[in-house]
Amino acid sequence: MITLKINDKSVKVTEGTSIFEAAESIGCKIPALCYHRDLSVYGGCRLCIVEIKGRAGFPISCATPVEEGMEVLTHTPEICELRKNIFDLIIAYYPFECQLKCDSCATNKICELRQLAEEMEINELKFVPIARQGEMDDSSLALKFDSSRCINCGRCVRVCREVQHVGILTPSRRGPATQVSTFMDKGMGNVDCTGCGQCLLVCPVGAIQENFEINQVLAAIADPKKHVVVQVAPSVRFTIGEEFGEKAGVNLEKQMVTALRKLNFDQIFDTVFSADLTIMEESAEFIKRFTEGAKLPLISSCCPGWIRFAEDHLPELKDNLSTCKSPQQMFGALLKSYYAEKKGLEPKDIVSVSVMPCTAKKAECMRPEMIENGIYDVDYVLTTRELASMIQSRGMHLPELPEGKYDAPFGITTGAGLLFGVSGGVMEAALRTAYELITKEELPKIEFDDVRGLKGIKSAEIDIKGTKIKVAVANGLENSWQLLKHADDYHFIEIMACTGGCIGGGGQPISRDPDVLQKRKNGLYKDDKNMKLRKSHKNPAIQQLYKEFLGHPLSEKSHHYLHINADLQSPFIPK
Amino acid sequence: MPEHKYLKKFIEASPSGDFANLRKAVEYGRDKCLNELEISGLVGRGGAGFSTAAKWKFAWNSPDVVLICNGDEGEPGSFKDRYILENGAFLLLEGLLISAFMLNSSEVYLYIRDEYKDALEAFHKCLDDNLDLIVWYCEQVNPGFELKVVCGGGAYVCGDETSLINSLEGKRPHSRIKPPYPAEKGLRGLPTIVNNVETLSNLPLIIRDGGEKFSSMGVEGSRGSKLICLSGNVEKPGLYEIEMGKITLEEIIYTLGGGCPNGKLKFVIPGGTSTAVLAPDGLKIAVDYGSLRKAGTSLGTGAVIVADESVDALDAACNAADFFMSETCGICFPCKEGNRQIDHLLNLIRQGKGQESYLKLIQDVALTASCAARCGLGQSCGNMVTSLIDKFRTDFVGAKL
Ligand SMILES: Cc1cc2nc3c(=O)[nH]c(=O)nc-3n(C[C@H](O)[C@H](O)[C@H](O)COP(=O)(O)O)c2cc1C
Ligand code: SF4
Ligand code: SF4
Ligand code: SF4
Ligand code: SF4
Repeated sequence: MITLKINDKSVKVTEGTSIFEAAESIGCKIPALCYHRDLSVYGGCRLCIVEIKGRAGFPISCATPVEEGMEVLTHTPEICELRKNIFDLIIAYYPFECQLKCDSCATNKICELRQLAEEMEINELKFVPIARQGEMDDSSLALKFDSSRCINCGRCVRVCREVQHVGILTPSRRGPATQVSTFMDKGMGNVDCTGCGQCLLVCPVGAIQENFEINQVLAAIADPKKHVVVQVAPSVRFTIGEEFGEKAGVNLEKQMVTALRKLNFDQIFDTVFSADLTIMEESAEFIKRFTEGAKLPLISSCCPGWIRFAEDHLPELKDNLSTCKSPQQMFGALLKSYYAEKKGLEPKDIVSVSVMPCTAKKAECMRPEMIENGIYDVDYVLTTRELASMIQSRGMHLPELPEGKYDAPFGITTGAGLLFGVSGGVMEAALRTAYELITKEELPKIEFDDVRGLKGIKSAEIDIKGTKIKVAVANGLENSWQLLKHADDYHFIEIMACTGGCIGGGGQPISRDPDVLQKRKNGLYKDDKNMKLRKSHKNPAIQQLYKEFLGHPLSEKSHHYLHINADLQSPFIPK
Repeated sequence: MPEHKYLKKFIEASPSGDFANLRKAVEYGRDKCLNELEISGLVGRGGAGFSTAAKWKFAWNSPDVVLICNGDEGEPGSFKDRYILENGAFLLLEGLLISAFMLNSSEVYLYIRDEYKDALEAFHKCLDDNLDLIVWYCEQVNPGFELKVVCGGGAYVCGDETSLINSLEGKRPHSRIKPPYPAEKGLRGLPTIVNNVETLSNLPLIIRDGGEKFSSMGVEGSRGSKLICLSGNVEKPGLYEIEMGKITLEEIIYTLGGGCPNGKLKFVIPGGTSTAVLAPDGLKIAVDYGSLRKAGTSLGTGAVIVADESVDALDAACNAADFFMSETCGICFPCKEGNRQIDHLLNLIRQGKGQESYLKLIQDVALTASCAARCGLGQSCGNMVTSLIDKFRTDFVGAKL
């Protein structure tokens, strides 16, 4: 332990801690823009300068480790003045509409410039604004990048490289024209971007955003000829409240259903249902491969960010990927077939909308293998944030809405399906079902603690009546990359592109709370525990679907609607 | 290229020799050589004037030290390294070999800016001419020795040692956060010593004459001779070698350089565009690191640029501002945005759209960059502009505001 003084206050921290973190630990917040706790130190914004007794100049606190007996000052008048100047210089070269007129700004909720202006008590800008040109990169189906808003803090570059092992974002151009871009300015849609949106989550100013599809959805709802159906992913209910000031991890499912009704969606379904369906198919696939001695490990395929990464970086694992579509796409396929038939609707008149924690799903639904005869399984994907803003723009305050209920025939769901929202959840849900299908006996303990938690890589050995099955789980693509170097050591692997799984998805509310994933995760596991049904194969609605329509898992019909039969590696087709 | 004028030590020491100095160094052994270097009091000629022996001591006991000779010479007005490369390549080569021997370094780079084609050719010719000696060196003195000559891409910031290392690694040339300093962790994480061309060219002299003799020249903190690149409005521009601390700036300009040919002297940039200018009343100042520092400016690389009264201070400031804005590496906010702001404000003033308050703003930016920027480029970008404003306010305010 090292003892130092920060603003005359004694602090004890472990060796290697930076001054910045040491200050944070005693509630002394030093302004910063390029610093991010999960990323390497960048040292670009220079806002976190401090004074250290006996040392010349103004070292940056994020890059300076604490030393025994150090005396640090963080907010002297001189430092504050320098910080104001730096901040003011940033705003001087920011889009003209900014100039800290935050009330009229679309990104004001998340903008750290605004927060800093408040913290630093900036009420007047002294430098002269300089006109700035930027380009909008809208080549990606998932995200768009407005370079005129980018302050070059490098967080997105680092998250993409360090956390996601993708590295498509890079500083480009020279000197004053330096800006973040993609290889040869090809655009995010034309390089190996997975669409995971982790870059968006760390961007302090909202320069990267999802491709908004709110207007298309509203137009479909307004069209009397269209039957607009919406499905909501498991994790959304635990996070959407944050956009309304609720605590993270509070389940607002029932209020959300009411909101969707008020938004005039014709039918409201729960993706947890198709998550249960995914488990039926995927565990059947696993059992088949395992008993037939076919190619293992089986690797989950429900995360489109991961699928895209695998195509670009690990094509050799192609045959290990489960052929199951993701729950979103399975649901979409059912809506345009089984459901259409049941309701006597033409598939082309159904508009299938999904609300997802995920930006990659915006691109997933446009993949050629997700389209049949011009009919898309899913037509539009909204992020959690987009739904929240639709609700807000109707003047509704979500937490105060009355409770509503999902529609039949997909209204019954299980805790297993709910677990899809968190890293390790697909694995646990699949094991709950596989165990019982293999042994025909009841699982002695339903929780698989080894695959739970926010660790980047988790593994476990499961004893299924004498047969040992080795499973592993990774979240975040760098972790996944590391894990998959040893793919052959396992029988079954779950991969989620986002940190923590979908609770940390690129479509989730942007939070600066370091514990937010923990809170979201806890909420989710708590609700699994409270569910009446906790195993997918025990879901009566699922059983009925097989009886009425699909036959049995891995049947021909299942394969047609619920699995990917085409070769991956196919290019995206823009709508 | 102006021909050389007052060059003494360098040319004397630079016959196409037989490596006598190198042989002597080998005889001495590395520790005795370091001792001589320490006694000599040699400080770096790349701008900062940091003690060479002190720098080397940081890496003295490390294995796998990388040695980089910095020939990027991007400072406007500086052409001394080019002169050495073109006319005294042997001296540099011998200096490099002695240094590599002393530092136990088998991985050595000479980083030359891309524009220096003749210099590159001259150095290559020198290598060819001395192949036998180099073979002997590789076999007998420094087995595994490899010298790589690398051309930079032309960015000024590549001259900064950490940016240079990034550039050598094939990365974007932006500075690294210090500490760790390169001597601790540089190229590929290895301890790395970066020295200027002129600095290393002094080594053969120190070995030949002994540290004592070297340090008898010059004054405390500025031992030995220094190459001065005299340019601008002077009668006899060119390269001069001076004994530091023993000649004033005025003498350099008038006695050696012959003064301003057409008109009166207005100001002098003593050490390149990153140093503060001196007005005529400030020229009676000894030219050495300490004296110039005390006068609020710096000897820098020794690029003395003379401006006569035909030069408008605002124009000169615009020029410097444009240079720094264009050459920022773009990573840190005070430098990138600060230089953009200074350039913008000066241009507004030039276009007659300025206000007097802008001058204060420029000073605020310069102060911010000097305190908070990440590397020397940003830290020194405002020196020339603010000193011009201080000394020639009327050029800024007068007609334009
Ligand atoms: C922006 C910038 C440009 C520089 N350019 C050069 C250069 O062209 N040549 C050089 O030798 N040193 C240059 N330096 C200084 C180097 O970083 C380094 O201090 C020097 O090469 C060390 O050598 P020395 O100790 O022999 O002077 C520059 C520094 C900065 C910040
Ligand atoms: S969406 Fe993901 S892969 Fe694409 S740039 Fe952002 S972090 Fe990288
Ligand atoms: S896009 Fe956002 S995160 Fe990326 S460099 Fe720009 S401001 Fe930073
Ligand atoms: S982990 Fe979830 S939110 Fe993230 S890309 Fe995958 S499916 Fe989308
Ligand atoms: S001071 Fe300028 S050149 Fe140096 S790191 Fe900062 S932006 Fe780059």
